[in-house]
Amino acid sequence: MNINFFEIIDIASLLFLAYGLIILTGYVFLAIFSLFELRDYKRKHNFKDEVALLQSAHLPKISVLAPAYNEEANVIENVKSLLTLDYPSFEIVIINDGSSDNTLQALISTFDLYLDDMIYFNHIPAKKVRGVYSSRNKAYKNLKIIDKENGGKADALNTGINCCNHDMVCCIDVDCILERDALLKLVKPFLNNTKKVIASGGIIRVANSCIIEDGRIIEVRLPDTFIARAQILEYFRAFLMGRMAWSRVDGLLLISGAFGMFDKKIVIEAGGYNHNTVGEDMELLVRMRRLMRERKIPYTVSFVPDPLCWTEVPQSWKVLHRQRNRWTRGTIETLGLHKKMIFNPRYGILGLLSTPYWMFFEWFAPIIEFLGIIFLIFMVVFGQLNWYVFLIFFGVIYSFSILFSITALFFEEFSFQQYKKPKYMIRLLRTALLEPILYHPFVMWAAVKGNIDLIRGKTTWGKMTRTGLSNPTKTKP
Amino acid sequence: MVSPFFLKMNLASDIHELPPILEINLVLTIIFFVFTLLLISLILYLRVHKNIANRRREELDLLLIDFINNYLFNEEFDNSKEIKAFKKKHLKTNFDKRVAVSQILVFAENLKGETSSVIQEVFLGLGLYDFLISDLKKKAWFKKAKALFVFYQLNIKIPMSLVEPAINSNRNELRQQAFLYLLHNSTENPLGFLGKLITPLTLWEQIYIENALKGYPGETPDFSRWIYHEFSSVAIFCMKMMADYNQFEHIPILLKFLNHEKPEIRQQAILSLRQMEISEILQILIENFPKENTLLKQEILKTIGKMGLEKHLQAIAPYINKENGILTVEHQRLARYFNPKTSITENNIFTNNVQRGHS
Amino acid sequence: MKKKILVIEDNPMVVKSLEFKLLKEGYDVSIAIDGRSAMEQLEANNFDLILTDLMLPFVSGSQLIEHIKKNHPNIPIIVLSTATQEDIITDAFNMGVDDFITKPFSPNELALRVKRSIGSFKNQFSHK
Repeated sequence: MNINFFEIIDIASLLFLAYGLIILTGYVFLAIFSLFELRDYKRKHNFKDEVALLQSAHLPKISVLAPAYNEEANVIENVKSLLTLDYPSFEIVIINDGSSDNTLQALISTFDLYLDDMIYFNHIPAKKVRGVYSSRNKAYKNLKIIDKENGGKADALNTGINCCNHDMVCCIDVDCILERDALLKLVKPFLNNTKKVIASGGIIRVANSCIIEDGRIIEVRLPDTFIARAQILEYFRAFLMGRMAWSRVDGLLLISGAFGMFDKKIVIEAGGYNHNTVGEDMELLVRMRRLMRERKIPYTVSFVPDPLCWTEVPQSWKVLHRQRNRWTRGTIETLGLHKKMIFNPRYGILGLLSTPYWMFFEWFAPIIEFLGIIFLIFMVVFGQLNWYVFLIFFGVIYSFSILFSITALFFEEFSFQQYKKPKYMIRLLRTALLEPILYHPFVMWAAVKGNIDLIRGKTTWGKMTRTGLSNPTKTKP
Repeated sequence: MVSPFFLKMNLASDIHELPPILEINLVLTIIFFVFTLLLISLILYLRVHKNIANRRREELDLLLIDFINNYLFNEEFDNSKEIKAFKKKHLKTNFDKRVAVSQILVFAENLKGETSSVIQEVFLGLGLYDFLISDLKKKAWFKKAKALFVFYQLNIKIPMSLVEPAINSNRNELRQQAFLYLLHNSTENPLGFLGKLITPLTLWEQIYIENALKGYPGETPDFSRWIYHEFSSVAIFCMKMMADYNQFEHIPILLKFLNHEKPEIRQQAILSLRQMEISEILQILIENFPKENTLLKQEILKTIGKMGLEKHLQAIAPYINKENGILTVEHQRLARYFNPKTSITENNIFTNNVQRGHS
Repeated sequence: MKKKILVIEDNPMVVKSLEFKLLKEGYDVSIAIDGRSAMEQLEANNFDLILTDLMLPFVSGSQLIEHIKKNHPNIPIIVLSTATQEDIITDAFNMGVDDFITKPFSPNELALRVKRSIGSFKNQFSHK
């Protein structure tokens, strides 16, 4: 038996070293790339020279698309806030996705809407449109409301793409709070690039506990709950380290559904949002990139790290579980639909780095961790655990997790620090210490459950159930 | 991110000697903790430092706004004495000077007319010229670019020997600023730099050039000079400007470009001529319609909508492929615009049911 | 009695300069830094002129103009905006503003136009 143990330990040690080395290298690269990218971004945007843009008649016009499903309570305030965006020419398109409450009626009466007689071409097949409304009030002339049969978020966005007027579309969640210069900042990459830009995405900020008035952030505060603070750290890691670094090597695979801008023509050519997946935002970008790659047109996808979009993250464990479960399914579905790209050198960085990264780090990692924990429990039950060895390994992993979070926190401080009070930083540091133990196992379980649900769902229903838009859990970092 | 492989190590339960991997792990743990502590101190230091800087900035901004307003509008203000006192009292560090530069830029961005030269006076009086010239002599491209930006925003001339290296820089951002400097400070041939371009003009650059031209005091350049430029983007920009500045003398070139080999140039020719409301183009566009791509066909339809008549629409109708839904819809939109009673064929189309059924 | 002007503008530098200049010209100046507080001030006071930006927090300039035209149709409005695009200017005049000044602006010229708008307002009344 003892000989076997030694052999197993050798193998396990090697595996551990290899895995650890991959993670460590990945981490160092993420950190370095992201540092350079942030530094360059800050240097390039140090001019505050936006007047020329605001005065130009040649700036691309933007259609802001916001699907709304049973948003009666907030929709008016949110639309009013959207109308105050700083941009010379844009329209706000609200798509009422067959709400069962009074969303439409509230919009009609507040904004003095009438049925607008207009013909549209359905570039992308979508559910039936019941009516397109415009306002009689001149102050709301760039507002358009589409009333359609319920079909889910992807379908609603597709309808918006069919019915909107402008060549650039900015897809947002209607409950997001946008900074006033959000469109201006997000459109910049499209203007100042010698390559064709097909999409640009923004960072998602956590709005919980912030002081909000009339759809605007008045004061940024750190959330009161641990669960929301843990998500802040997660978002820092995902956006400031992850996305920023991936954007440096042009390997971005996901632009959050909550806030992203796209070249409408390419979206239409790629076929619009896919309503058979719960990860429609990721799936669309992957499909667009694939299209460009296959057509051999040089292109790029941009990422803007300025804090432009704020959203409420789940405060309850149940909702958080549902969200992560869905993200996992979305990731797997997207990777499944585009499995041809994984490890395929034809797709360059996307094939060799991005898709394998998503497969190993986003899809497999929680499963491997979960199996490890099962194994641990098994060992404890059978009295096989050497606590001394366990603690050493626990120590290295725990210290690594913390270093990872702290680095992300450093990037926040380095870039666009929003939590001004030193007190907030100290609370975030404390959250970083607790997060690997109290939060991480939970989201890992939600991801595992997502895998299980996907397998079960496929055999029993054969198709994904659709989540309504009222689900307060949308933005994937 | 957290790996579970360590869990397998409990198999070492009856090993008494530490295998090397455990030693490595211990060392790593220590290294990670040291890095963590270093980063934490750095974060806290930066936080406190930034807070102090921000407070200083806010305070100085208010002082500057007040001072400059007095300088600009208060006749009883002893300008030359006060500016010396302000400089001595408030602009001690480089940080202070940078804050002053940005605040002066805000003034320059919002005020014009007789105040512009007074703002320049404030800038020079506070000794910021030398400060930025030293930035321009530094190696960092972003400092040079920012300095050039400030100089042309404030209309301050600097020795050409300092601008020239920037024109040939391999940093795109720096070249952009150098070109804009040349444009802002030229007395003749403001667009001369177009000949020196080594990359196509981005939309961004076009917008800034357009903006700078608005303030150009000399004669508006003749945009046809660069119309045959090797980059289509330059030709497109010139065509846009021809329309914006109503250079009707170049209509023959624009008309010729309706048959240019590059579709993006044909498109801009249509856009410019449409903006200038040159109705002669309709006949050419109708002739070209059958051989154009969908995008250009859409532009042609739009042009007919803006300046054409129903007969023009009828002339191209036979060439609209029923399979091409986009064009069919645009065509029907226009048909209804000319004649609201036109019936609609249902073909992947949505409309509010207002007119359907009439014919 | 001093004429009362409401300045609605969110850029602190512009606010201060306008205030400085208009006070010098002998007006009484109130400041609102966003559309919402402008609405509140409009309810509480009577103004002889409104000078407003178009891009404002909470309530956009055009919403504000609609509101003023509906509830205080006699107060002249001057727009002070960064926008120079023809369609934006036309839209503003269609909504009934009296003048449109683009940034960058000349403070002296602005003072003249303020004077003219307040003057025409008085005439309008005496004719009635």
